[in-house]
Amino acid sequence: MLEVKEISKSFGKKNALHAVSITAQSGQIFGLLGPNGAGKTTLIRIINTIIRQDSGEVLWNGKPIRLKNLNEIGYLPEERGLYRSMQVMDHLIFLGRMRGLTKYDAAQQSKKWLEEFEIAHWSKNKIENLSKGMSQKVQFIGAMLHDPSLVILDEPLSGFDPLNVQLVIDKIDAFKKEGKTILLSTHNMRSVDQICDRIALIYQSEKLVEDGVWNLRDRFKQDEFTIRFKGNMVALANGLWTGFELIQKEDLDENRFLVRVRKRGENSINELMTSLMNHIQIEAIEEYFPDMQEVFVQLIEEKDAV
Amino acid sequence: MREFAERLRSTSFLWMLFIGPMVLLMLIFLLLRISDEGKKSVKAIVTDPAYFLVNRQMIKGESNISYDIRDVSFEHTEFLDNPNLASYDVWIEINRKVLTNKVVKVFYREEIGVEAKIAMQLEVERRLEEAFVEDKYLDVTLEEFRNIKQPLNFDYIDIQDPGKKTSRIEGFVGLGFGAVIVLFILLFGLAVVRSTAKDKSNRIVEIMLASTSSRALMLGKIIGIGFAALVQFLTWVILVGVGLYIMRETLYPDLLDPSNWAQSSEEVKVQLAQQLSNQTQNKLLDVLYNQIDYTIMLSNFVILFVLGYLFYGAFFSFIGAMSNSESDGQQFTLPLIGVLLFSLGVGYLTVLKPENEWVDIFAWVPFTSPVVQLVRIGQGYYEGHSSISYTISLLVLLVSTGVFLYLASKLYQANILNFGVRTKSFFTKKDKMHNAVIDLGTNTFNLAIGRWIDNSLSISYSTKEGVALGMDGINDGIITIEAIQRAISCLKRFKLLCDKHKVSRIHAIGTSAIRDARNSEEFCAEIFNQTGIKVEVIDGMREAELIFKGIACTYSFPKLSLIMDIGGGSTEFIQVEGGKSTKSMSLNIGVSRIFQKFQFSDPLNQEDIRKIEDFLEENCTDSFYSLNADVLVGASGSFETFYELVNRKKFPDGLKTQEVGLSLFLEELDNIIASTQAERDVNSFIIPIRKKMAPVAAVKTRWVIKKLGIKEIIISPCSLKEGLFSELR
Repeated sequence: MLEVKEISKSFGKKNALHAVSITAQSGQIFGLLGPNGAGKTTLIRIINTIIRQDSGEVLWNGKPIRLKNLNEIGYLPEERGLYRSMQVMDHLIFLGRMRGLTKYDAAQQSKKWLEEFEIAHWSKNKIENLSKGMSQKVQFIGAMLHDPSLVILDEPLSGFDPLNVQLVIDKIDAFKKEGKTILLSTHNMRSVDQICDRIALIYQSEKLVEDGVWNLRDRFKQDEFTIRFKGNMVALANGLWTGFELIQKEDLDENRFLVRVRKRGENSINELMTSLMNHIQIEAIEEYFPDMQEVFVQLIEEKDAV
Repeated sequence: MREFAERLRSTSFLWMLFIGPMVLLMLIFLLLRISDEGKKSVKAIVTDPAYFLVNRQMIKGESNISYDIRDVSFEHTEFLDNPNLASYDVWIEINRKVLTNKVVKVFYREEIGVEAKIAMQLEVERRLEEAFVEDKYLDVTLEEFRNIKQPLNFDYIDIQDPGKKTSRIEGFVGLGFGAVIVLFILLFGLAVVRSTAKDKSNRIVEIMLASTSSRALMLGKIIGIGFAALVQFLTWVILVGVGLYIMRETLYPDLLDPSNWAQSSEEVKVQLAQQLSNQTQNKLLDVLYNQIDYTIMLSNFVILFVLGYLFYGAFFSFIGAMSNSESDGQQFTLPLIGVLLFSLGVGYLTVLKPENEWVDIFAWVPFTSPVVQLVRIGQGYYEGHSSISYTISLLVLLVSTGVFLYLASKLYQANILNFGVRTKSFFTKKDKMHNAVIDLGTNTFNLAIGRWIDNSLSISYSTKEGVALGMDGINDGIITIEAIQRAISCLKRFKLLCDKHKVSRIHAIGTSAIRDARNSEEFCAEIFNQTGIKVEVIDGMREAELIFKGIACTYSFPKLSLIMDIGGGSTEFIQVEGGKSTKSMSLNIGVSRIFQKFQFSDPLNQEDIRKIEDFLEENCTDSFYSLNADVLVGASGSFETFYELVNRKKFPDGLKTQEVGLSLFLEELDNIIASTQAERDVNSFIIPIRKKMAPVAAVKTRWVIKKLGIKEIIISPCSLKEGLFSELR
């Protein structure tokens, strides 16, 4: 379990973090969200002992994190970089040895990972000859081949094509099942919706909120429903009870639509369905929960309003 | 270890490993060939109080040596100072001790040539042999004596420095070793700078710091590269040593060593001596092969190199951590190179004036002590002085190295992750730095490079490229893959231009097409990944604010004015009263949006014009109709094109605004609206990206002029970019 307690950090007069605390449990994917310059990277660097906090502490399994704990951490920074003149396998062995593996173990692990990522045939190539996507894979492997129990990923999906995004997401999911603690910083809200269990939002050096993803989506829901139906919009309008208003409409094909409606007053979804059934052919209906992008924006707007 | 291995594997290192010693040997050979051979014609006085040679005739061979044998003895000072002895070049001192120690001392005023030395040794030795036999010091025949004798040793001593306390040539040898130290510190120090800057620029440093401390990383780099330097030096020592040995055996045998003559007859000896004396044999050769104590020099070299390299390595590391690129690092190393060259200068002073008090001081200063101490060791300074001062000097160097490595590691830590932001520079002033501003518009990307000099904005370079970022996607709220590729390739070119103009910081601003696109985050992330440029996406109000600030740089708004900036995605309107912005708005009525929303005929027909005007009516909010102005100030872009079409000339260089008559302006707008694509294609005043959309921009401008009752037209070359520059003042 990773516990960050009351961390503060300033660079000269600039306050980068102010009394930020978070707790990430084992077997959990914890998302660290926030706009550019909010302090996420500073926090990640403090956890990695790259820079020292002015106050507060970072606990790993209940004990302050030290240099000796670094071999338990797998870190993929946002600013990716490799030695371009080194061969893939040599580079991975080098990174593995930096994290405490023997040369033999590093080579074995590298081989296994390269095969999993289907780039084993590139192992003798120099990094400079790899495509960007392949370099990203090498970088990801380098961060993970020592089998860390705390995985810190800063923008892990950037630079990957959709197929490889799924590959990385599957890997992160596998880490979760293995009971690793995963801290993930990203701007990609779709990935937050898809993979995070819990998030903390850092804004202007402070933590705005820390909660489960579904708790937050639930908190910001606005009694809205999405309906996919066959028919036409006039029929929908006729069927819509005055207790609901149409918010969004999307044409799926000639006579199929996806709409979002918002409830007014105390009307229930059952009443809505009853009212619509005679007018349109309902294919699907579900309560609409805002995605994390909307939650994120609303949280920041709330803060700015204050 | 990685640094060490990488350096050993590098081709340049392997080349230098062998080319270096070869060049050094060639230089030594060249020096030996060109150096002065010394005096060949010699007048010698022989003092012989033991009467070995007195009354004997010296048999002169082919040599130009004349002897004057006296049965007296005198002190060194007398030979030096007595005017009666001033005509003698050499004083040969023979006394009774020669029977036991076999040493003949030869004092010279000026270095003598080896031919003369050989002749002198042969002649004096021959006469002494005769004397020993004939005077019955030994009970053997002359021939028997010559067979059993031990050769005499001739000790050549400079009368100016009989104690051999100081020698310039030995000092220069020490300086030579010092120069090698400076060379190695410089070469491998620069390697530290390059390697650190490279780690920083390719961002791997963050991964390294997540595995080890910044101090260990810094020391690892210095030590790894230092080991490579030592390997190179030791290889040089071995190769140069072998080379010198081969030269000794083949080109320069030791002619003065009598044992080399032992198996030869008298005639052969003379012949040999004369033959070989034609070759260059000189003091340098003597120093090289006889005077340098290589054990002492090399061991001290290694100690002083290690300490000196670590000491300077601290500074080189810090410079590497401060630099954002290798070229940055080269700039910052100049002062350090100056200090290293200064230490060589002090080394030279030590050769010339070893007792100078400044030399004593510089022997302690860690910046200069490695070179000064090596010169002193070469001079044999510590044979006549206490070596405690050397020990203390080493301690000072050691402690300073520790202190500076510690300080450097602190600064290293503070700077190594400071990507793109340099430590507050000691060398540059903020107002002297070039900034670049890139406006990532919907149709065109604009780059301006400039700086503020004495409160005046100086744009040193500007360019624009049609990127059509909003093409095919603006009305669907996306930036297409093709548009992303065009943007990246344009920004890569802009980045190269920024590097060429030594831009310290790039400010990239994304406007309408980017802010409205659903994939704007991915777009910005991809740009950052591929170009390192961070795009700040601003909202419409901020865009309007920057446009106002940009035009206000060179226009004071004397009348009630309305700024209009026609973009591809949006159009900004800012009402200015009394020089202050009173109302501003950003409307999504950009020309690219309109152009892609409808199908137009070529040229536009009345139906097309009506569609555009209806679209403007629908999308302009009530607050637009509340705008009130007499003067329309057109901001750059399309307005510059309108100016050029009205006046049939390029828009003037600089940032000054230009006035255009309203009727002429409206007439030209009508012309543009009525023009065909083919006509616009051949019109050089319309840049390619505007050739398609110019009529739409013209319809819109005409509509605004008519709706708001505009009376005057002013066109400013300034806009958003200049607005951002105004904030960087």
